[in-house]
Amino acid sequence: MSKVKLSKVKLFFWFILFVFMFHLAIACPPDNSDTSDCPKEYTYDQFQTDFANNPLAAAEQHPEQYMQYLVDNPSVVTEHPEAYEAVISKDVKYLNQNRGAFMSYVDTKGIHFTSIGSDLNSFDVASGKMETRGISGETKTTLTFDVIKSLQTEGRHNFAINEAGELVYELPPRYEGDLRSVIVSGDLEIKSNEVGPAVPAEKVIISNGKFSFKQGSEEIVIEINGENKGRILAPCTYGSIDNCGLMEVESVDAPIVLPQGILQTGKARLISGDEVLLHPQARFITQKGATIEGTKETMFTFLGGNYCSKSKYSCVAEVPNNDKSSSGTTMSYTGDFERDKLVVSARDGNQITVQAQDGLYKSVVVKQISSYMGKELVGEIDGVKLYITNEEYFVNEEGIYPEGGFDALKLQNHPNYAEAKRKALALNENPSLVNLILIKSDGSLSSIIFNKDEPLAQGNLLGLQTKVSYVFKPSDSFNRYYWAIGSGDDVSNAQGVISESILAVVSGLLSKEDYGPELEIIFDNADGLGSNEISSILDTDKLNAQQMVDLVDKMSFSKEETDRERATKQFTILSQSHGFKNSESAAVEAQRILLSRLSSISEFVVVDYLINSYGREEIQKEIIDKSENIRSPGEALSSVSSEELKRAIIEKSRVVGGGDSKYARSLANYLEQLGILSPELQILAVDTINFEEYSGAFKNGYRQGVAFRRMLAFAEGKPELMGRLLDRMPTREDLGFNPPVFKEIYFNPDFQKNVDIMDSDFPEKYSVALTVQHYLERKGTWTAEDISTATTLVFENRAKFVTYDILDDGTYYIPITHEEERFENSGMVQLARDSGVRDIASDNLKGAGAKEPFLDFVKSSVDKGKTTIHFSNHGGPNHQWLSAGSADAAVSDEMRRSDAISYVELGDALAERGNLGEVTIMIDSCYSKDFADNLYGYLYNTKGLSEFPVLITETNRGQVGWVNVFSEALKSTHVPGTPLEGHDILNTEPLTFLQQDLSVTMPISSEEEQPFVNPATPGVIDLGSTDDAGVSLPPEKPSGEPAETSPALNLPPTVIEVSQNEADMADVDLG
Amino acid sequence: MLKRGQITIFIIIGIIVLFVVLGIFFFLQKINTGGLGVEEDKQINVDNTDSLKIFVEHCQENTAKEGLKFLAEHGGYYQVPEPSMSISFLSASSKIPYYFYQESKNFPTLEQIQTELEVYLADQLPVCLDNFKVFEKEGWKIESGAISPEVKFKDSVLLKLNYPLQISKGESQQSKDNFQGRVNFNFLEIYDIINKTVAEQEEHLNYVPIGWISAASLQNNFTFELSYPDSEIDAVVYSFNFKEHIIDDEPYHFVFANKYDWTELQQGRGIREEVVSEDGTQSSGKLDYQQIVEDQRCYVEDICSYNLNIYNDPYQFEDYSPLFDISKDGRISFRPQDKDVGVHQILVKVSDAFGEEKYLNFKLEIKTLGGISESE
Repeated sequence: MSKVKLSKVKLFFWFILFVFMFHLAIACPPDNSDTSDCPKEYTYDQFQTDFANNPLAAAEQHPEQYMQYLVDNPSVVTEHPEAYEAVISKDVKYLNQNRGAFMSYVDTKGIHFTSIGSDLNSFDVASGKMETRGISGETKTTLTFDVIKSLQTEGRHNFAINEAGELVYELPPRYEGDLRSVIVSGDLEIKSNEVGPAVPAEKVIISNGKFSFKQGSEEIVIEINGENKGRILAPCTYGSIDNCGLMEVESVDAPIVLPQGILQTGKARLISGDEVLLHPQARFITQKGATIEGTKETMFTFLGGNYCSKSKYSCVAEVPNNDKSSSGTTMSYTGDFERDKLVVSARDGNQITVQAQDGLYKSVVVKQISSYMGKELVGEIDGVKLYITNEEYFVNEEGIYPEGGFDALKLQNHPNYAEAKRKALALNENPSLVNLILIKSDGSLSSIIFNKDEPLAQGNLLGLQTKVSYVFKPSDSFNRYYWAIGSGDDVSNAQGVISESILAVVSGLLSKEDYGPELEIIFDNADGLGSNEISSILDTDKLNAQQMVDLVDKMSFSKEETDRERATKQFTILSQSHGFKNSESAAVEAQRILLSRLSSISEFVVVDYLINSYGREEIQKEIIDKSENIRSPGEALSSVSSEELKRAIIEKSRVVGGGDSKYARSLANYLEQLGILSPELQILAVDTINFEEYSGAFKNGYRQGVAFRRMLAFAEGKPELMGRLLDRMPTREDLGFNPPVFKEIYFNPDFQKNVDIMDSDFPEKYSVALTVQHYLERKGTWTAEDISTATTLVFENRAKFVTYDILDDGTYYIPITHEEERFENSGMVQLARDSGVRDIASDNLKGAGAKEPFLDFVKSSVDKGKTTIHFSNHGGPNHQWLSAGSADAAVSDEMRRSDAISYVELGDALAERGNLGEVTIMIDSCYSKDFADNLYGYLYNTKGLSEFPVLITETNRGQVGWVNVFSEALKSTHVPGTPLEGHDILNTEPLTFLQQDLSVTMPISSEEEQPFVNPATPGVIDLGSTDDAGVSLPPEKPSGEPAETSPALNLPPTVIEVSQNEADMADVDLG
Repeated sequence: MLKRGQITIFIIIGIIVLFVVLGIFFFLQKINTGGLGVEEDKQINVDNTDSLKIFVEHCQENTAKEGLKFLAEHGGYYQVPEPSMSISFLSASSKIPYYFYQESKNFPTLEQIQTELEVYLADQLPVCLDNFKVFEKEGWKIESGAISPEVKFKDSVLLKLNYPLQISKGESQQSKDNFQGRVNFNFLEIYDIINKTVAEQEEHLNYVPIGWISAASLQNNFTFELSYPDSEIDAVVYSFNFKEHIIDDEPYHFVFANKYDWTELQQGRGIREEVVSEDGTQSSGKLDYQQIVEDQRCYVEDICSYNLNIYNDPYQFEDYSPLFDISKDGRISFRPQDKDVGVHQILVKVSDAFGEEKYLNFKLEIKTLGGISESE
């Protein structure tokens, strides 16, 4: 082109440009006025106005201004999320401009991110699906709101997206100090059909991504590539690993590397960096190179052999050969541990195959395989799901025989029975077993099969470099033996050899009888040892102190045994060592070590410690020092020799007894031991005992009366001690025991003179003193004169009662018993016959059927003259029971029932009879005094009688008694062939003093007695001790039949108690 | 100083003394052991027919003892039936029976063993009797009929022998035909243990009941030996040594064998015998990959390489990583990108020509150059 032409073109171009610019200038003047031809520039102020009027439209039309507006007003995202959605739908760049705004937005969707560190490549408002951007712009993670919502359950928190575009979150700690940070990338999705209102967390699937977490300082990475899948699980918390974990992985087209090894095929549930639960048929290669397969779920772990012992799953643990976890704690053997031992435990029909190079592990230990107890549901019978087991037992859901049994016929006729049985029996075809296949260096294979029986082998076992052991639970080890096979010296006590020709010793068996080097196997591999096994090992005297401690640490215990009981057992078993008597014995040193581990020793086991360290004063001193209290000081005192230790025991014996026998045996033993010690130590003991501590002998239900009486009896004849004791004893209104008043009475010269004259033994002194105390309490004053008067009165009444005829040849006798066989009519009839009685209403009034005849006999007995009615049965305050009605369950307000005779019914019969002054009633039952009081009240108040029978009861108010105690005592005091008189009754007092006390109540005979009468039992007065079991209450008005009852207060007294005793026990023998 | 001649005399005397001593020793030993198996005349009083009876019964008992030992070493058989195993180190027939030949059971009953001992006695008793030469030397003439022994295993081994003998010396003639004997040895206890072992074996046909034997040996105080005399056949010789059951001051030693089929054991691995590859090398049965594999770290845009086969073994390598493709001979080489930053778990499979395989895994951390300064 020529230069001229070029200049023309240039000129034309400039012209056109000029024309265009001019046109523009005249079209849009600089005043910026808004016209239709020339719109005014849209300002930020305008946007704010528009946004205020219509947020969605403003944002949609002016996204740039909207994003600016967000900077100034971040809250508008949450106020108008639809506006934000409109903007970010236009372009994800708006989202990336302000990630904080996006975080606010997702908050409105119920999702919270703590930070978002990378841009998103895309975001779909409708589905909430987002793609995070990796460092080089690639899509790193794809996820949806549903994914996050799902993950937010189960305690996951602190969700964030890091700079690399990965999803980060934290898990709730499984153990204290557990760092639980997880990083996930790849495609995260929830299948549409799996999304629901309550999306379970484990439905999040990872593909083509990575799941990583930290364990200690190590970052564990699991890559999910190709067709492989990962499924995020609900995180496990402490105590359970069911249906939880970090992730479930499935190897579809390639192996997956897990922290514990390689999942070659199948599925596995990764619970932690230490535990992976292999699904059935999964094939897993451990880090060391062993291959594991199981037909059922199998745990593979680095958490020690002890973990396997406790696991509910079949288990394989790869641990160091000197695994210490079996002593109790669970240890993680990740990191630099040389995990050269494999522990295998199969259960519930799992058939585990472990294949490893021979020598890969120094040892393989197979834990005892129990009989497989599989079960199949038959169906629900009478509301209980019943199963049939593979051994054809019937069990419930818990696998035990149903409580209360079941209808076998219904079960066997159930339509599903045959099929369930078939399936159950089929389970036998797949018993639990472990098949250990060792690949020897020459390529040949040896297989050892472990099942519930003894091991079996295939292939040539010659020259195995792996020591293989089979160990048993102590509870199942009777007549079974730890079994081991291995090379050379590894196995001691070889019972057999394996050879190519002759005498190439490579196999062995552990003998129970000659423990020695095999202790190593026991220490390392046995879950626990029974006491007998430990004893037999101790007996070898081959162990040093630390070995003994290690040994007893292996002791197995039942679940029910407390730590205290366990420690005690460990300590005490050492004393059974043959060498224990030797002061240099390792067992003594071992006891010292065990003792040093205890900060204190329980009051209930101190004695066990002392007995089992007998002769080792230094240890005993430490034991006492570590005790806060000693419950059984008697046994403790007899377990030590020196005065110093005895004193130390007494000083620690504050709360004594409790929970022991009806005789308050611990206290009795203590007092017996104290009896041979110096008065100074006796006083120390009395000064130390706490009489008011609950659970001690003096506040222990039925036994507390016995305890107080024992203490008082101990002080008998030791005035200083008795005084000290009564000063220290608390007033016990519930027992009717008032030590200051009792002391006044007891040391009163007239009282002492009277008991001396009567040559009273202590039970009588006590009985009289306590009765006097109560007489005085009723009177309200206790001057010396009162004491003297009351004492005289009690003795006079007792003297009257001594010659009172209860059974003789002129007596009409009406005996009745409870239906239980132990209440015997024959014994009662024999007593009557021995006393000369000729007229017996019936010798077979027994059980509920005898009630009406009995009452008829009572009513009609007026014709017979002097009558003695005798009950032997369970009793309650309102009833004499003829059937049912055992102790503590014998209270009923129903006054007319077929299985018992109420005081109302008896009172009616007696009232109908009349002439009650010739009636004696003996009641040999629990609560008999309460019944008697109610009867008296009824006769007096409701029936308006003024004549009352004499009532002799086996037990005191509110008390339960022992069957046969009273009748047996009577056999001792009554001479056959002579009438049964009051002295026979009173003479039983010393015989039953420490068990139960009877009461005698008789009509009062003089005005002098009236001040001492119990207003609750008008007309009668007691003779002897009273109220002392802590459950005595005034007779209560029974409900239901008000006409038949009446208050027993403020009425003229006409009877008096002449003797009372007590009873303090309750168990199956109670009446 | 002694002269040389004197020394020679001493040497000669010494040699004579030595021979005399050895001679006496040998003579005494002969007497004690009855080493030839024939009753010597010096032990027998041949004055009357009672002596003959004693002689026969003594022979019977000794032969029975020998028979019990023989039977024990041959699984209870005198004539070992087939199938049996030839054992070179055992004497006599050098055969021991298979009680189980794979799944076929061939275990003698107690009665069979009694019969075997009877046959043994019938065969071996004449050796001991030696045609009554001892008696013939003293002028006795003995004509014998057929030997018919009878054995019963009770608390001890009871022996009866029907052996018609016509005895004459001079004018006197006598006949004897029934003899009795007893070996104080409780074979029933032995049989009971063997029988239980067989029962255990029957429960688990293709397995060595090694655990059961171990426990039984402890409970019954015997030791055992399992030997695998031939690696070519799946057979095990069971040898039980009963320390508390003594015959002739020796513990009783009972031997039998079982034959198994353990081919299945090998099938899972694809090998049974030594496998020979195409190039003629033999598999040792395991893939002996020796190289220690360690975690690696690379930088973005840098060449990332790792040789997993530094010993140039004839293995094949296969990876499962999207980051790279490993060469068949085990070399990794690639240039990481920004998107690869992070820690990767690398898994590589190594296999050999025999189908043996092994997995290698290691961590590969890819970092950016910027990341170096940040993190290090």
